[in-house]
Amino acid sequence: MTAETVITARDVAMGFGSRVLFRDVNFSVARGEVFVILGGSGCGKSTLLKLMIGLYQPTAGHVTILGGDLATADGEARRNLLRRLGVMWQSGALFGSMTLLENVMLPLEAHTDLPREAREDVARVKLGLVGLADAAGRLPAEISGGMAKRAGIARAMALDPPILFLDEPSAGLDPVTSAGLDELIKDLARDLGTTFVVVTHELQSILAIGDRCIMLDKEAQGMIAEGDPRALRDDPPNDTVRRFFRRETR
Amino acid sequence: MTPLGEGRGDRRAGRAEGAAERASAPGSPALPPAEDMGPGPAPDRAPEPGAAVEPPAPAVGGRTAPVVAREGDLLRFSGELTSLTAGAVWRTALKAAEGARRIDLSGLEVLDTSGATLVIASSRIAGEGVPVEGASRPVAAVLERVRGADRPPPAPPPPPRRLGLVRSLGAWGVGRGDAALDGAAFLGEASATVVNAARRPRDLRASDVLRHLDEVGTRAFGLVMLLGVLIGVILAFQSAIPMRQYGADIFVPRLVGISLLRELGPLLAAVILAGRTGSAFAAELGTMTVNEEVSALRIMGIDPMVLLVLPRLIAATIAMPVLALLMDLSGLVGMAFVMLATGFPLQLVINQVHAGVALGDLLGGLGKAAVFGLVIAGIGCRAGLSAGSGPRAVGDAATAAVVGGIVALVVLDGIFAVLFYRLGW
Repeated sequence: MTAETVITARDVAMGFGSRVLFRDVNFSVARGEVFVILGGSGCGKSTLLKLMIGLYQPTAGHVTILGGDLATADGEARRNLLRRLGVMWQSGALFGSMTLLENVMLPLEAHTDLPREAREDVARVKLGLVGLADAAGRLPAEISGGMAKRAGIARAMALDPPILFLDEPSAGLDPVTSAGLDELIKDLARDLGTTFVVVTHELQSILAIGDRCIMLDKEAQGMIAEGDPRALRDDPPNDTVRRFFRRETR
Repeated sequence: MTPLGEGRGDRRAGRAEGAAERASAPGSPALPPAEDMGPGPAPDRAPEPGAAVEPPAPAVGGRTAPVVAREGDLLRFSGELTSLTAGAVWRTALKAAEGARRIDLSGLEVLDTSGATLVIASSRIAGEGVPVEGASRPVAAVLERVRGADRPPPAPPPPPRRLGLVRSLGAWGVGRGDAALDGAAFLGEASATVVNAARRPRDLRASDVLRHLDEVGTRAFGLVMLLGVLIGVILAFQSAIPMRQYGADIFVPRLVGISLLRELGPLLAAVILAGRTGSAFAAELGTMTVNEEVSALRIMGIDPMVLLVLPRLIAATIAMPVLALLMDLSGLVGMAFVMLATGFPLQLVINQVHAGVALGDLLGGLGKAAVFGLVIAGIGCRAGLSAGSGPRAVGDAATAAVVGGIVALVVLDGIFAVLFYRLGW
C-alpha cells in the first residue's frame, strides 16, 4: 500500500527582488518518512523550509501540507494547520527567560486544555524523550548547543505534531552529539511515526537519517536530484551531486 | 458501567492508529462483566454493560472522544487520547486509577506521547505491577517509548533556611560591593586608556569618534531644541505668575537665565543623553558582548577599551557641552516668547538676561556638562561590556545604563553645587 502523502510541492519558485533563488521545485513527502532537503550554502534550503511552514509566500506554485496551504489559509484553518506542525530552528530559538520545562510547556498552554500539573508531566516526558529530563529546570543560557537543539526538538514535539521540520539540526555540533541527534530522529520516526523534514548539508546526517532527499543547487536555481541519499551517493546523476557526496571541490 | 470522563474528540495530534491491528495484537483481553461505578459526567454514549469490548465511541467533529471508564478493578481507556483531547479526562483518569488492578487500552484508537503520559501516570497511581493490557501494536510502541523517557518529578525544593532575610541582605550587599569594585576597575582601565591614547593618538580611530559625535550630538539637536524651548516657556510662565503679584515679573529673564545656564540646561541635556545615548551604547556593546565580538577583539590583541569605549567617551564629552549650550539658548528663546507675549519688549528681556547672568555661570554649566557626558558614556559602555549572556542581557544592560546614568547625574550635580559654593562661583 502506498503511504499517505502529507506534503506536496508543485512548481514552487522563490526569489527576493530580482534574484531568483529556485524555480520549478516539485516533490512530495510521505507520512512517516525522514525527508531531507540538502544542498550547498545559499541554495535556498532554509527558505524552502520557511515556504513549507508558511513564513514566506512562494513567487509561483504552491505547497500543500496536510491537505492545506499555509500561504493562503487564514483564521482557524491556519491555526489548525500550524498546530499540527513542529519546527526546530537552527539556533534552537528557546525563550531565554524560561526554563527548558517552561519552554516545552508553552505550546501545551496555548493549544490544549491540559491542567497545569498535566502540562508539566507531559513536558517532562518530552524532555525525557530527547534525553534532557535532568535539565528541565535549567535556562537556555546554561546549556550547551547540542542540548539547546534537543530542547528545541522537545518543544517542537510538544503537541505531538505529525510533521516535524528541523533546520540544520547537526550544525555546529560535535560528531558524537550529532550522531546522538541522528539516532533520536530515527527513533522518533520509528516509534512515534512522526514525519521529519530535515534541512541539512551534513553528509553523515543525510546518509544516517534520510529515507529520501532532494538536492537544491544555487547555480541551477532549483532541484538537481531526488531519491534515496545512499543511492544518490553511489550513483550520482550529475557532477554536482557527485562532488557534494564525495566532498570534491571540482 | 459508566464512563467516568469523556473528552472532546474534535482535535487530534497522534498517529498511533491501531484499530485495524487491534484484533491481531497480542494481549487483547477478554474483559469481565462491568459494574456501575457511580456518577460521572453525562456521557454522550454509555458503553454497554458487560460488553466484552466497548463499541466505537461516537465521532465528534470527525474524531473520537477519549473515554475513561472504571469497571470494578479495571480502568479502561478508549477513543483518541492525545495532547489535544487528554485535558478533558486527565484528572478523572488519575482519580479513577486509585485502587485499579488492571488497565485496559484495547479501546484506544489513537495515542500520542501526551496521552501515554496520562496512561503511565495512571498506572503509577494504581500501583507497581498493575498490568497494562490490550494495547495495539502502535499504541504499545508509543507507550514503550514514553515509558523509557518518563522520570518521576524532582523532589520539592528544601524549605527556606532560617534567617532568609539576613542572608538575602548579605548577598545583596556582597553583590553591590562586587559591582562597585568592577566599576572602580573599569574607571581605572578607562583612565589608563585615556592616558595611553594621549601618548599615542594614532591608536584612536578618528572616524569612530566622528561617527559617535554625529550619533550623540547632531542627531540629538532637534530633541534638545524642542525640549529647551518648552522648558523655557514653562519656567517663565510658572515664575511670572507669582512674581507678578509683587511687581517683580521683570526679573523673570534673570531667574530663568541663571536657572538654565547654571543648572537646568546641563542637567536636562544630560538626562536626554542618558536616556538616548547611554542606553544605545549599552545595547550596542551588550549585543557585541553577547555575540562574543568583544572576546574576538581581545583574542585579536585589540583592546576593546581603545576601539569601542574611548571613541564614545570622547564623543560624549565633546558633544555634551554643545547640547547643554543648545538647551540654554533654546530655553532662553522660549522664555523670550512668554515675556513678549506678556508685553515686555525684547530689548528689555535681553538687557535683563545680560545683567543677571555672568560668563562664569555659562562656563560652569558647560564644564559640568562635559563631566556629565563623560560619566554617562562611561556608565553606558561599562553596562554593555559587562552584559551577561542570553537575550535578556542586552535589555538589562540598557536599563542599568539609564538608571545608573541618571543616579550618577544627580549625585554629581550635588557635588558640583557644593564645590561651586565653596569656590564662590
